[in-house]
Amino acid sequence: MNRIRHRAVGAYLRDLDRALRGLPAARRDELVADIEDHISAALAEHPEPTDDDVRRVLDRLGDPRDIAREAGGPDAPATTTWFEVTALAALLLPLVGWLVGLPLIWASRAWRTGDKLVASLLAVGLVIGATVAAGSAGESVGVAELASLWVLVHLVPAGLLWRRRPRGDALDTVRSAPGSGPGTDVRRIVIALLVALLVVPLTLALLAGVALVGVEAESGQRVVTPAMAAEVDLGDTRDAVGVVLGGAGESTTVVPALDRITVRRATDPGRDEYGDCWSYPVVGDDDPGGRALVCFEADEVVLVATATP
Amino acid sequence: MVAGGDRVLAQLRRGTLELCVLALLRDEARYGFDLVKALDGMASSEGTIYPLLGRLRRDGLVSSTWEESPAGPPRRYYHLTADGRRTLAAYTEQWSRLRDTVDRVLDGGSP
Repeated sequence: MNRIRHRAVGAYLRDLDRALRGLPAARRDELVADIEDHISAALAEHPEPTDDDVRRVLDRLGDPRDIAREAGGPDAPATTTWFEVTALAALLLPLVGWLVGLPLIWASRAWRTGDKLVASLLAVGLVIGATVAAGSAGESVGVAELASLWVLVHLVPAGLLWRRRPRGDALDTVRSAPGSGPGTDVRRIVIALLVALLVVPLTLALLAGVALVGVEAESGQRVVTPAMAAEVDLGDTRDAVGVVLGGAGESTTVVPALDRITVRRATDPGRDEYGDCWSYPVVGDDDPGGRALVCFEADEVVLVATATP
Repeated sequence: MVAGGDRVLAQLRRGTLELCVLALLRDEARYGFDLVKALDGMASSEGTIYPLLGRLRRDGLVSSTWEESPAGPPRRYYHLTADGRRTLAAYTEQWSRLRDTVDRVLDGGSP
């Protein structure tokens, strides 16, 4: 597509986009695209459009505010509806926020795609960042950390979307625009795929996290995060697994397993035990006399837990 | 021009614009820029055609399809729907009556 990269065109389209702020995002995007196509078509009549040509085309289009006024006729719907309020409320809830809130927000026509993307990335990115930080700190998570995590992951994106909500006349139902072109259809498919890409791995990761936290190690005191698994170096055999807990960068020490143990699975009643679990002495200063419980499935470490005597 | 004359003209144009857009689509599908050229300055701001087209589409009077263009990006072509055709016929009839009345009044006769 031969897009016109002229400064005046860019400024005009930005002004138009701003003037259309009261409209639902889908209509706003469509109108800006229509006008952009018009400018392309008009300038295509000039082999080498000069600044004057560009100015003439923009002058004939008229003041962006006139276009916005024409667009905001009596059928211009109010834009923040019960739907958006529900979506934001859902976004505030842990877990539900991702599973229900984010898809609802993507389904809404009130927000612009960019805002939806920023909010989703904030909601997902912040929790990944926080998990990584917590994992590398290797500490158990307290109430204060959970609270600040909630603020970051739920309140910040919800607050951003609330601020960026379109302000209509009243709470009313957003009218859907029938007969949209393939451009919007493609975009909707892309959006659905994006949401699936975000939500599905996130759900799986969350369920895996819940499964780990839900495990009751036989004599365990605390269960560490999956990130701890990285600190377990599989040796040549089960009897020679080096376990380094309590400090990054320490060298791996190979120790023999003490004995084979049974670890119950709290979350999967169908398979009530982890297949292959062993107890190891913890090497390090933090937990003298401590035990590390390591479970394997198909030669992968699936669970690491520490137990203090 | 007398005070308010601009406003009257603008409203006249605005009121008849929808009729003209529907009429231009009677025999052939057209894309936005083509419609603007055919209207030849009827809209004081050419850009206002696009919100109008959007409204006509939402009201089901026109439909639109994307079609390849001989040069450049695909274009959104607007077609008159069956509803649009009925509406155009009704508008056309009303318009002839209105025009005759206005003409008689402007010529100094009685309506």
